[in-house]
Amino acid sequence: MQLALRRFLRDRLSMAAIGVLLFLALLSFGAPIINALTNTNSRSIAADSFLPPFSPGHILGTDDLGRDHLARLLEAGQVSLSIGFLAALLSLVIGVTIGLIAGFIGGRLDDTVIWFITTLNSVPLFFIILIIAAFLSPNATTLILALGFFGWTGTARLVRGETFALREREFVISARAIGSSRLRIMYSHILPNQLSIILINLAIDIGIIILVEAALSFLGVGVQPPQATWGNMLTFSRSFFSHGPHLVFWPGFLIFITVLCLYVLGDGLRDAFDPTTID
Amino acid sequence: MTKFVVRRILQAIPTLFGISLLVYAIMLATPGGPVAALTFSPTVTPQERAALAAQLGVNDPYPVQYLRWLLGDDWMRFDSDGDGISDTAYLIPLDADGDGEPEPPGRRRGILRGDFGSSFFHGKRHVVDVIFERLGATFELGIASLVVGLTIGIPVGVLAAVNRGGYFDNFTRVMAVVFNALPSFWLGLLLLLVFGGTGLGLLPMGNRCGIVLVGGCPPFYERLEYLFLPTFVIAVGGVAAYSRFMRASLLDVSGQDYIRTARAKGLSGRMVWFRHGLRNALIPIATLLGPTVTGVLSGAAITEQVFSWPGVGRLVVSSITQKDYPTVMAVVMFAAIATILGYLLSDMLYALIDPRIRLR
Amino acid sequence: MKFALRVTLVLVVLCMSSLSAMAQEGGIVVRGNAGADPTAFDPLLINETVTSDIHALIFPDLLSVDPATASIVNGPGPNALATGWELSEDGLTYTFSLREDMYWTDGEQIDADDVMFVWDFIQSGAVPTHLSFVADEIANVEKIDNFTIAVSFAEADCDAINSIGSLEPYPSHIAPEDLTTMPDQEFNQNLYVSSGPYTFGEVRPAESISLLANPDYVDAEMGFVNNDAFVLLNVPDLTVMVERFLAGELSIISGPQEARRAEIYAAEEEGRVQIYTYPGNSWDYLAFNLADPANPQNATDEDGNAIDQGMHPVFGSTEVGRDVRRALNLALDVDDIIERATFGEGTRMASHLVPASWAFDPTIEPIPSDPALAAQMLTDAGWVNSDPDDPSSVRVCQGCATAEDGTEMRFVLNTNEENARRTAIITIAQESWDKIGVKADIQTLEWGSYREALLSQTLDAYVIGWRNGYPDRPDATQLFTPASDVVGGCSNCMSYDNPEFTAINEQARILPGCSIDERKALYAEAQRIIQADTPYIFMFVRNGFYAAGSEVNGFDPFPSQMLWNVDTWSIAQ
Repeated sequence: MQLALRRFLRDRLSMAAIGVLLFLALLSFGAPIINALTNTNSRSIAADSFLPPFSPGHILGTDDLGRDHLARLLEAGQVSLSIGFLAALLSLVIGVTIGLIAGFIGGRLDDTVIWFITTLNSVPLFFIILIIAAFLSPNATTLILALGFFGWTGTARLVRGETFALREREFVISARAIGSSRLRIMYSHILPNQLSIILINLAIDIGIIILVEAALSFLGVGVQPPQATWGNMLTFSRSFFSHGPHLVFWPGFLIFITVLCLYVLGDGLRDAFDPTTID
Repeated sequence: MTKFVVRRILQAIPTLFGISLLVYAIMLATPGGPVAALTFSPTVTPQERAALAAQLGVNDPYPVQYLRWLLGDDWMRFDSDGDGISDTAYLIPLDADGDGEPEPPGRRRGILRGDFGSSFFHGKRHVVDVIFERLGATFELGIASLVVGLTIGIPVGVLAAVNRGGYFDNFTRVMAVVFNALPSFWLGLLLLLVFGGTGLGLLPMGNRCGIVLVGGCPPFYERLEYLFLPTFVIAVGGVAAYSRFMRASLLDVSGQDYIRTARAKGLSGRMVWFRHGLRNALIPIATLLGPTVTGVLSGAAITEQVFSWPGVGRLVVSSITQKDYPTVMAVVMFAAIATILGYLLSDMLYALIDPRIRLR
Repeated sequence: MKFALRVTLVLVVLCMSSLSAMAQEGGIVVRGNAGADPTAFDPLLINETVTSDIHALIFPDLLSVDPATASIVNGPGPNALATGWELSEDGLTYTFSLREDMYWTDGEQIDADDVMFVWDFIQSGAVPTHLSFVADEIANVEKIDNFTIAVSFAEADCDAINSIGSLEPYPSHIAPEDLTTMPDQEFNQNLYVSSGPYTFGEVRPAESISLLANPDYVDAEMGFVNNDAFVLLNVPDLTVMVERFLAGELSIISGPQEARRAEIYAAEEEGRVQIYTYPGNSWDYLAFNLADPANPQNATDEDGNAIDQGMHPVFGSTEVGRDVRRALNLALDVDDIIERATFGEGTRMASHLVPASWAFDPTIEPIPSDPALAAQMLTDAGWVNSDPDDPSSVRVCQGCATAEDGTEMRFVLNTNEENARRTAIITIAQESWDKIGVKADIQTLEWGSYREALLSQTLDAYVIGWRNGYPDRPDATQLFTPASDVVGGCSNCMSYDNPEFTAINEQARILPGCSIDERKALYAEAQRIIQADTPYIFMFVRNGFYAAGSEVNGFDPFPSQMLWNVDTWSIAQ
């Protein structure tokens, strides 16, 4: 474990990714401070629409209605990052719990869980999310719940497999022999050994979810304006190519850089935890 | 082999059953339901709407509604004496709307008998017909992106493994994620702007072929330029997955005994890689076929929209946004069947090429 | 290097058109359609935007419409079956004489039976149809002889002739005995019998529909259809649609996204495209609920007695609260909204009549923008700022006419999702009102839920739009009379009810003699009443916009009529 951590800390690419992500999160969630500094907010409407970047009072210019683009991007960042993180976290919690229990207890319960996972996996997750988003009014909360409740199968499958293998290992058997409760064994012996799966999945899933949110916006069933997300800002901006290219560039770039960093991070974690990697 | 296939198909039954339940549950949870979707005009009176609701049977208990979808209602309410007026009913009332007249006999045969009902749109045609006329286009796009994904992904993965830790390896590691970190609709639009008529003018901007008045599109090899961009957008996911998978698989194989033996025998590095390593490393690629089906279907939903490609993906999106319940339910069932077949096929392939695995 | 569109022509088409067309210039007209992708086409069963476009190109009309004035002509016209009508003395019966030189493409003559069939079909109720409204308006249709029909009404209605236009000839000789099987007939998928400038070609689902020039079209302006075919190409993404038009892959485009029009204007400057714009007929408005949203009631009970519908705590009822509504209107700068929400591609409206309507009164000015006056009026109406020193502090009722003292001036402003224009309207309205202490919470609803909420009359204020028919009817019975105020199935969903308005509107509708000038005066009065009552904040009508590539010869549209002369078009190679 410590070896992995050391290896991870030495991976410059991963460290850079973490740095960028932290920076973006700080900016987004520090929006009130930044707004106070620039004396703008995401709602008030300036006299001019489509002001170019570096206009007085509007560092990144204004959008089609005359709202400050930077303030909108930061507000959108809060929503997009929250959706990504919370949905991924929710699916992770569900996935790990179900995977642990199914793998540890096995038997009939395990069969049922496997049946359920196979069932869910047989339909493209994107279709299910699309149906839910379209049929229930899409907003940030419904999206988080939908993605969380339907996106856990991959994690569950991995965790279950790993648990299956771990429960026959010596340290688990000896823990059982000294009479530790099942819950205790799961939490203090098996769960820590799954840390790598958990972290890798978390990073990759957040990235995927941010992309899914953008895709849903493109199909018209994502989070709806006036609530801003990077996805819907990008979707609506595609008709503004000639009016204000900056409106097209920034949301696209922020999605791209965020997802890229998350993928790189996931990759870096995988390498760091991979026992076959030669140091 | 036959035994294996039969067993796998039998195993798919509970899965399909689960999907049908899932789909049905989602539909039931929808506010408004099909009645709202069908009575769109503001001139429809509340009474007319109530009558339609009775006719569609949305007031029946949920299990009954599910049964109707599964098995049809031609046995629930029918005409036993041949006068055209229904006189016998099981599970559902004879007179559903309470106007004193029995409703007409049930006509639906249920999905188990191949009747997925009629679309709310598409001229109220049978859903199955609507889906079937779209399958070809998506199949074409799916195969094309699979081929492109494999022909680029595998060599890249091999080279990355051979050059492990080198510049090429790191370069592919980054490239694999770069294209996948862009929202696919955005990637599609950018490509279209760059290569289409308003940009470089190298490629057409959509559809499956040029203007054809009568006779349908020419064979695909005469219109590859139309396939190029949409295939690329779907294939970037595949390229990334296959190349990473291939790299890992090859590295895994290279650590195994027979490769070491081969080396020990004095075979040259390249010989070892390609003679022994590659063949065995390719085997696990077969397992990716199942996930590929889901990937192509989800990718198609977006890509077909951008490139005006007349496939199932767009049908999924349009039926969902139009609240075309019968089509949505049928399309999801079909997607599930396609995915299950994909997994089955990949298991069979796996068994065929890997002598160590025997199908049980 | 430009990629040429690969055009595959079937030999038969070429031969057939070259026989009749000595000087035919040819080419294929390609139009993009973003909306639904139709796969069923029977004109009696299907009425979607794209199918209606197709029907107009391959089927004859009953009546002839002058494209320049958008009015129905009592006389012959291209591809119109009736040569004119005579009105009976009581003003209730129209007798039409029909042409004897029109044939379906299978050689069958078009006659009175083909019109009677449509009427019989509507009356049979065999299959639900969008034409069912015709049976509510027309009392009876009678065949006098093979080329004469009589259409009668229960009451005289000056716009009656409009509903007759829906009885478009249908090839009755191919209809099945059992009308209920019509949806399953081949004709529903392939309109193999037609009569018009084009004939039905081929449908490639979700991709394209081709219409082929009809060599036997009798009314062709030049004696032949000047192009080879008309193709509708399905392009689901609007951004891509504009790009493909600019790239020359589409020859014509109508109503592109407002945000993209600047680019098309730029292409016009370069001589690459031709543009035609006109004040359109779809318009957006902001409506106030004038009844108690907590307790929605129909306007009248079953016996026609008025029901007390209560009043809205902020907007009041039709009589109460006019000042508040006018103030809310004054607080908005609608011209600025047009600039931002439609990129200037909208025309301001002063009342419920679109500028293109014959009854439109240009002397009625829209309510101007005057936020200071608005604030003063609200204060005078008993809504005062909670913090007298802060004009943007929320206003509370102190002696207002519609709510208890202490009620805050808060309401929800809704619109439907997926509509950037309307979202812009509510966003700007919220911001403008906020400055004078009116707090609107804005929400977008998914279309189905929005519609449900709207019809159930539980919303406070909402932004939505209407699209007027063609030719336009100025009658407002549906929009603003108690007859259309039924909870769950309304078009006057905000419960506007001004007896004076209802009376004038009715008077104009059934005016004996139907004098245009007198009706115009009545409708002008109706417009004034509506503006004074302010049940809507009238926004704008979206400008109509047609464009064609410079290669299209003969492109010469009229409002709402881009294709009236399409048989003379040719596409330069």
